[in-house]
Amino acid sequence: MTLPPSEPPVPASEEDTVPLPGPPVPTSGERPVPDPVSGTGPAPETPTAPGAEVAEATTPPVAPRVPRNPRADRAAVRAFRPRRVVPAVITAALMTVAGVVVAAEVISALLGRPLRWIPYDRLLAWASSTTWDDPGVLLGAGVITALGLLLVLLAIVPGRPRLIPVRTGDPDLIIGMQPRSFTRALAHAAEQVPGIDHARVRLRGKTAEVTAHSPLREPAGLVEAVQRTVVERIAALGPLKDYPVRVNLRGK
Amino acid sequence: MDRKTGRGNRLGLLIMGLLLTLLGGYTLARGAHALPQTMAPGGEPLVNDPVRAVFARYDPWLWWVIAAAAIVLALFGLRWLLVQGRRDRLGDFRLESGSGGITDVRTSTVANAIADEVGSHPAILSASASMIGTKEHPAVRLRVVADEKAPMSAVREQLSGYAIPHMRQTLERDHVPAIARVSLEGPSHSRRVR
Repeated sequence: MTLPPSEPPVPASEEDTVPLPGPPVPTSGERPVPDPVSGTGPAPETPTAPGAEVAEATTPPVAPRVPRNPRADRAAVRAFRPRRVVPAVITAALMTVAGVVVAAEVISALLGRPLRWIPYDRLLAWASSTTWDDPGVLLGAGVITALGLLLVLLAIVPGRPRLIPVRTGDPDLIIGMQPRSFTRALAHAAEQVPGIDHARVRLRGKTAEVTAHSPLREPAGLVEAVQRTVVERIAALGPLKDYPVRVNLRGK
Repeated sequence: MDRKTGRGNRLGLLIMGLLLTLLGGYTLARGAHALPQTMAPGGEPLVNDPVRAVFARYDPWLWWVIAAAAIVLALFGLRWLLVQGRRDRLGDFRLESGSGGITDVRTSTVANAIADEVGSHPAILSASASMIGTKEHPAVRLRVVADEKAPMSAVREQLSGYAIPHMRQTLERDHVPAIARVSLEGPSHSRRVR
């Protein structure tokens, strides 16, 4: 016995059962998840080229299983702030070299046996004949100013944390996870979704960008499923900051 | 390397950056004739008669001052360099409890105990720990490899529920901060076979 379709007869009704050999019809991201049984396919107002990506970004549901503690959060963020080791080592080495050279030159000259590592007679002649508004002097001053500003920026900009801080709710317990572990875990989660055979996750700014590949021609509802799964996994891993999930689905 | 190093690096970079900015900015301003021309004329040579006069007048001790400043600069630079390799690992120490008891704390033993305790959770594949900080303020640093499928709460609870309270007891401290670096490992065949 067959029941008449409860849905109003839509032109796309064949899509319910028969995968059409035509181009794939991606779903729109903004729509709610279509019912897999009576799913009516794509919304006509989102025409998309075959094989194009479907993207959407949502904010994961806030499920703070861990009590928020601003002090703990700050401590965790601070703990994994970049230490600026490379610029510090370069600056410190230059300071050391400059200090040693100047001190050696001056003291040796004062003691009557100048080392003359630096040709300072020529240097003095140049400085005595070059004016402050000389283009070379201005250029050098510009470079020094830019370097100085760069160092100031390196000092005050927090920078991207080396590890992703995890919310613990306890200032005495700081947990950070390796960013690569985090993205790999999310990718593996996305690959658990039926219909996804390969996924990659990249952190772009504060967004987790999932690129999922599906062998299916008609990945209806897949974007939402991947999104849900990844959002759940993020919630389970509990990073301090929420990462909105953006899914790019590549169909065949 | 400890957290003080990061703060010190930023402070040092800030100071050197400001000095360089001031120096470059002054030269630019003077070269652009933006400073009062009676005081700092832009058309004069870098080393002009007033500069020579100063050096002649304060010879030779102005040169000694310059040499001393250069030595100070070099020493700061050297110290800054050496500090980069600093480890804040805590050595063994002695605990004297109020009842007159004395405990010698072997930090490696304490660290291994906490690592074992953390690693006993099935979601945690491996863990290692070391004690850092000072005798007055000991802390523990952990490296944890966890199963990526397990929620992070497993790591958190294992640490805050068991390992850290036990360590507080052992070390007789109210606070023993812990800092854990977690890497996640998944099964290598997590891909769905279709």
